[in-house]
Amino acid sequence: MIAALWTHWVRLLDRREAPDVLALVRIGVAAVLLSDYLTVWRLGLVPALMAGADAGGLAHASGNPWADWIGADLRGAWLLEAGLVGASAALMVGLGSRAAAVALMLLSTQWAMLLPEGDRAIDMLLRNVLLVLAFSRAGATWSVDARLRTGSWRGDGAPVPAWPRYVLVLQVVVMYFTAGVQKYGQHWWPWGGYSGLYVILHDWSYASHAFGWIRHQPFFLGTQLATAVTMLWQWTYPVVLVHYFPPRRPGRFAAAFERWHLHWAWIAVGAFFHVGIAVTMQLGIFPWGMLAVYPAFLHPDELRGLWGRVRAATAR
Amino acid sequence: MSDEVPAPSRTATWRAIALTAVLAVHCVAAAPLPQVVLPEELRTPVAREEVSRWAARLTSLGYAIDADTLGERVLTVSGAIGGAHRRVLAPFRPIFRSTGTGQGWALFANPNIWPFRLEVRVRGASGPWRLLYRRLDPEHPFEDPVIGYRRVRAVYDAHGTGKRPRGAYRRFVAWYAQRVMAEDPSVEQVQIRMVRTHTTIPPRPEDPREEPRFTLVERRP
Repeated sequence: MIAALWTHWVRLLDRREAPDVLALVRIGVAAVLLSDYLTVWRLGLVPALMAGADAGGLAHASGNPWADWIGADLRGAWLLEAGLVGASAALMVGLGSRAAAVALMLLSTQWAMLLPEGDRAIDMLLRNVLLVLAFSRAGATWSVDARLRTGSWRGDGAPVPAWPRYVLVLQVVVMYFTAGVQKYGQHWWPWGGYSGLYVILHDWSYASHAFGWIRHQPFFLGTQLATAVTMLWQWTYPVVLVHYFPPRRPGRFAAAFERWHLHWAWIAVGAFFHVGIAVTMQLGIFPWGMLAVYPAFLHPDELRGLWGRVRAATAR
Repeated sequence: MSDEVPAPSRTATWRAIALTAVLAVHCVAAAPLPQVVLPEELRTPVAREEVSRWAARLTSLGYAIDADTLGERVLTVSGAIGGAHRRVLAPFRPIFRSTGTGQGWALFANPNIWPFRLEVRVRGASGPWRLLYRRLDPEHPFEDPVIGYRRVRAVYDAHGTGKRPRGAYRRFVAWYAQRVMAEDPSVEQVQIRMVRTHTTIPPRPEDPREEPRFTLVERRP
């Protein structure tokens, strides 16, 4: 029994597929990070966020490798910014994709050590994604690497190991589920009036606008419903794994889940949730970084089908 | 012709072993265990209110406990669980640290009904304070893209829970005051503070109270 389960698990991790989805994640994640680094430059915040106090910045000027080896001065700050922009741009266009993913992850880590207060959950999540991409063949298509290797931007079309995509799915599932079960605050629960989102939208740090008007109906009821849906959605998120890691012998539930494509319900709610966050809260790259990983939920055949439908609709 | 599926290759098996080991470590890291709660964190109004409400709820469910006792238990239990979690992950910490990776997703675990609103005031050699910036105030949006940028906001949001602000907030005040004075030569003093407001849940009436905290003043050298 255990041997059979293990063999099933090994086969799940040995699946192969076209590299398009991993390439899309690579491009999306790199684009989100690149836009963040360019925002820092555009706002004139490179010295402020990457240099120490002596150079007029907020970073910790010692006790981390970048400050100790390169320096937390202006030169070090601009070198770090150039490295982050260069590595994210290289990853986006797929130039030395694996090396670019590793370099970007390590440089982002150095920035996190220089200014730990500024490093948020989304930064760590995207570093996890970069580590997975570094072990993947995400550069096998739609990349300079593919063009140099095969003469075509699309690459040779050979299937690549699919496990990195499934690991990314697992990462997102773990994030949502553990974020849900750790919501111990009363305001998330019925006895707190399902007022969690209402309270967050009144938090000056996170809200994008003054939301005083949502205390009136039907808006308050809307926030209560959204809170209840958020909790239900996060607590039940692991059920989508039935689709991505199907059991060896699917029972009635797994078969029905597959027949009705029920995993789409969780994915759709998630996408709606992140767009809602982007509109109502100022969480920086959080919603876009999460949405950049969302293509991992699609099999390359689904992505191709979706693309075909989009093209057909636009051609009409 | 046989229906048997061929056994996985040796490469596939070793890859599965390696991935399983990595996933196991990350599952332990991601385990939704209570974070270590510190005594000063338990003294904040948000935490005090939360503990009181949980104590009342547990008592109503038949487990009689008062807020102080529950608070002490939270300190003890979260310290023990958090300590054990740290010890289990200790061998892998250098990898997590050097790659900046890890797990830990307590996002909005306890929404804050006592949020803080940043205010920046300035004045010249004499005269009253003039409001230059107030968070989400369209009439005082001075440099909102800079102050609102997520990493800058994270620095002044790290003001701490005690009476005195933490170092990150002090660094922000020194940096931002210099920036304001460099921009406007008539400014001699910059005052930065966090104004604490109270979010009430309908149908309770709004609470108009505002309490300035962590007020620091920087003067032109």
